[in-house]
Amino acid sequence: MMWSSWAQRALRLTVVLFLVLLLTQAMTLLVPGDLAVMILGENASQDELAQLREELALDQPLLHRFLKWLGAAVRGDLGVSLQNGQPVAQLIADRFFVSFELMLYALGLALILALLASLLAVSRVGTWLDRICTVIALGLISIPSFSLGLFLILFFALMLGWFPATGYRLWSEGVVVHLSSLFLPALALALVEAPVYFRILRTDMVETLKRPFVMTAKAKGLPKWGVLTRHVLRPSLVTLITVVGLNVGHLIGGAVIIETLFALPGMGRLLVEAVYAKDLFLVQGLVLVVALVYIIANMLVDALYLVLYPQARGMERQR
Amino acid sequence: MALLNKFFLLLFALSVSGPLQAETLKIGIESEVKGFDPIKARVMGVSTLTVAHALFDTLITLDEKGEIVPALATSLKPVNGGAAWVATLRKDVSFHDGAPFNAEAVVFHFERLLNPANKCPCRGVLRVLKSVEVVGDYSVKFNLERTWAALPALLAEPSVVSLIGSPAVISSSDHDYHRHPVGTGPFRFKSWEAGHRIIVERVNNHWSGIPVSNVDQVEYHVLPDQQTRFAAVRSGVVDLVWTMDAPSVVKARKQGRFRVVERTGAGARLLILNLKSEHLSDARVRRALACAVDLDAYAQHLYKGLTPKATDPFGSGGLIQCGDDDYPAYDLEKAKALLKDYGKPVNLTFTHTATPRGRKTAQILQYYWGQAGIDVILEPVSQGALISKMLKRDYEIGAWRFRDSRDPDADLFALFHSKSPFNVVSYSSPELDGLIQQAGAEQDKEARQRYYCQIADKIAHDLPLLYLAQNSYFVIARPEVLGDMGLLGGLIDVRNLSLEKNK
Amino acid sequence: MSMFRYLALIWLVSLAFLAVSAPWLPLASFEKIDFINEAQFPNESSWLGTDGMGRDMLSRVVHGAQVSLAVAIASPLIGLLVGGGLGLLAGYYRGWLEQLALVIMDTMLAFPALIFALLAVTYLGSSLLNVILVMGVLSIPVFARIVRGQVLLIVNLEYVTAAKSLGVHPGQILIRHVIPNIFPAVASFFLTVMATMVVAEGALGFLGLSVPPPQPSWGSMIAEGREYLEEAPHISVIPSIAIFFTLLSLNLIKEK
Repeated sequence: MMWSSWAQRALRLTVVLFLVLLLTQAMTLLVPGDLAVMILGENASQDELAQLREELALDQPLLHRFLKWLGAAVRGDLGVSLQNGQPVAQLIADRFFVSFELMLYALGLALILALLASLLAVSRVGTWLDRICTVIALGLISIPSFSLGLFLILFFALMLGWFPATGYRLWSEGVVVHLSSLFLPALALALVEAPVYFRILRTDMVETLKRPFVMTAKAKGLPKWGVLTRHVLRPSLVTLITVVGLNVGHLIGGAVIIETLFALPGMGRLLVEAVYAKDLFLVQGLVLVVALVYIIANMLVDALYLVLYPQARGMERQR
Repeated sequence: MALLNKFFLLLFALSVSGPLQAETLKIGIESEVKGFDPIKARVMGVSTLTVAHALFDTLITLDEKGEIVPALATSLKPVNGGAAWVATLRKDVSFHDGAPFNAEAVVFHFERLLNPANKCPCRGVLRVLKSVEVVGDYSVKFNLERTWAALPALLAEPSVVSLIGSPAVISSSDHDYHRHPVGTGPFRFKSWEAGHRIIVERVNNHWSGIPVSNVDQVEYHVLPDQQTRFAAVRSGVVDLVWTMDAPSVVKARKQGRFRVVERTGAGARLLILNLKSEHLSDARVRRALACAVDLDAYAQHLYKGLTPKATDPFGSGGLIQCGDDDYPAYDLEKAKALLKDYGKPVNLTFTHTATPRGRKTAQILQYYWGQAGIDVILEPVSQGALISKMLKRDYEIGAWRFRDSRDPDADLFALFHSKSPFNVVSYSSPELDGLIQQAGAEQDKEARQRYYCQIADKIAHDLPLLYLAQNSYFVIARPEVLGDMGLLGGLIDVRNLSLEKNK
Repeated sequence: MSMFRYLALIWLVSLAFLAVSAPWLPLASFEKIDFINEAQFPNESSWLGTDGMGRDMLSRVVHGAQVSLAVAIASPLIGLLVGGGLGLLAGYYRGWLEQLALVIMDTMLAFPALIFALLAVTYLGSSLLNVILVMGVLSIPVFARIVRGQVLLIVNLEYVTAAKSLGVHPGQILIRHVIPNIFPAVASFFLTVMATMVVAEGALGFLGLSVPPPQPSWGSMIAEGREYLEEAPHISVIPSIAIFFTLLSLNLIKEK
């Protein structure tokens, strides 16, 4: 039973990936003008143009072109950038780590903040502490990430000078220096996601608190914090895990803005530049990577769900 | 006690005698370097040339008066009444890979550029050059179609044309010369982390004999975002930055700790008008566009008064000075009258770079033109896309610049001559073609100046372009950076820089 | 909470009113460039100050609201009509139609929203209509999911199954029973999507891909204020506050 539902979802995700990539390819049709001329330039000879057209299967139907591109992509060849002739795979690889690290950093911060806040709120349900957390969450949900980022720069970088305003420092320049150059951007992303996680977690925990086994634990005289963390937390993570998986796409999108704002050399900024430059192969390659990340993240979340809740095997995960 | 005194004395002596250790100089540049192979790069921007300037030498350089100064060539003289030039090359110079610098290397470089199979766009600029030949181990002859006074400038200023690399390396198939350049410059290429930084290291015993400072390595960091670049020099992540952002310069000066170097050079920044477009083919529309813009206010605002407006191709920092010019002054009423005379409603598209500076310029101009009654749609694109669109003539109003060069010949030919592949304004005037030709051929300085002033007048009358501002370049440096930065053409010269870390 | 909801409503209604009547209000010009008064803090002549080119901030915020509100209202409508319709059919009929709908929805959700918006705007051009369309299309799978989920809850109720077995026309069932029941949840969700749209348009504007100048939009105003963050933070802060209050109001009204 478990296998079939997992397999079903895997199949669906694969189809989704396929369609996403096809869609991206289709977008290239929207480009006015001859693609071969765009790549080789006006001075190219007819022979060269013909050769390139054949290589890229430009005269073939979309599906054929797509399969050709896919075949090359599987071998690691994503074409070259129209801007500087560098291989797309290399350009993306250079920037991937920065974006990936930023997202993990942000996710980590968001989860920690949400966890702490909800534990705090739930330990004193209904009191002013709970109320304040909820209000702050409401406030944070109402601030867009780019505004938040600017405020963080204004206070922590320009006024207080605790963190750099923009720019990226390498690991090789020192762990603290590197992490602090990513702190404000990660925080900007985290503060947008954290309130959402907080609300979900808090609601679920409040629900779980009402369940009989919790009453039993309390009656047994177990310490409050112990009850919260060991017994209440785990069943309450269900919705959160689901949401985190779905939110990966949101996180990726948010990263685009934040990378632009903080001038980080990540994939998001590369994408914005590629879009402005109409650098088709680079855009396609980036979309591929992003879609893959989204799908893998969702699969991991599914797996995590099954690991944490073995009793859920055989049931379709509620979406 | 005496020993202790001696010890402190020694320390004191060491500290005042100046910096001893080898240092790395870090520079913030604006754009990603494309590569160093002239055929592959096609066009080299300021950032690429800044790095190339350290790695390569040119045959000669020109001083402030435009007189030839020997570099890789000990002399460059016209022969046969100017139908050819002979360069006598310096002996005992080697490329960084050990290969000898000689006549063959020079000829190899130019033949490669001139070879039609390589399709170098630079052939347009080199149109007067018939061939380059070896006349001795260290002697090269440039054969010309006609006399060409602009040849020295072309050979002196760093560009795709003038930077000479090692032939062995260029022709080798194992070696990617484009990303691993080999020249004769005071620094050799060390490493390149794409999108991040390029590192070059000092060459000992460079032929120029310049004293070696304590800077033995230079890192060029690519920092496209203006704010980030300024923040980087403020916080010390880099030692100096190249910038065109006037507000940063003003801030740096206000803070007082920084060394600000500026140069307002020759040339100009301008907008170009596609004369084939419906409305722009009419001179009244073009004149209206020019009259509608208050260039003084524009320059004052955008450049905080640090850069003067431009009204001719030469600039106040150039060798050609024409005095009065005919470029239309700011006159909103005149603009409106011209448009009324034209009769039809005018809407145009202004294609500009999608950078904060580009957007600001665009919005300011859009507003001015709107006041006159011209509807302008803004089209923000990337720098590369802008160049590409202009080369395809797929634009109405675009952006261009005349470089900070000692000789305006190359740039004027490129944009206005009817036979130039870079004539993206589609301007065709036999009269101007003739003037450009004559000015390029004329060897007498005063006569040349007269021709160029005539050219400027004609352009100011026909208006295939709209001037904006002159070329100002700035370097914001931390106080530890000492030495002359050059900045000719906007290129930072690192060979004379040193770091005084005791400050 | 109810007082805050009241205030939220007032904010939204006032904003809508100002946005719609902007051309006739006695506001300064939003595009007039005034170099002498650039980056002024709020003062008597300019209640919200001026931006980096001396343009009046109050006027720009009000005119910027036009864009934000247009997107906030029109785009979710597209999503509701198309996506909601899709979800309705998927939830009611189930079977292969549902599977197909799920695959399409998953595809659209997997495609990073901002990136789709970037691509669409680059190839189609950035105009108000295009932004609304792009955002509308992006909200389709979201509405489809929600509506389907709600329909699934209703469809198994006794009186619905009864109606089905009695042979009542599906259209009647949908209109009479299903839609009225899912309405509250979907309406609440509509407000959430509105809020998301305001942010999304702001994000596009921040990247310079929303409605082109001279029309102001909150996102591009924030981006333009970035270089004045030290000396004149109000240029970015004021449109940020506008977005904040709008989002907050939408979220407050949504809360029960």
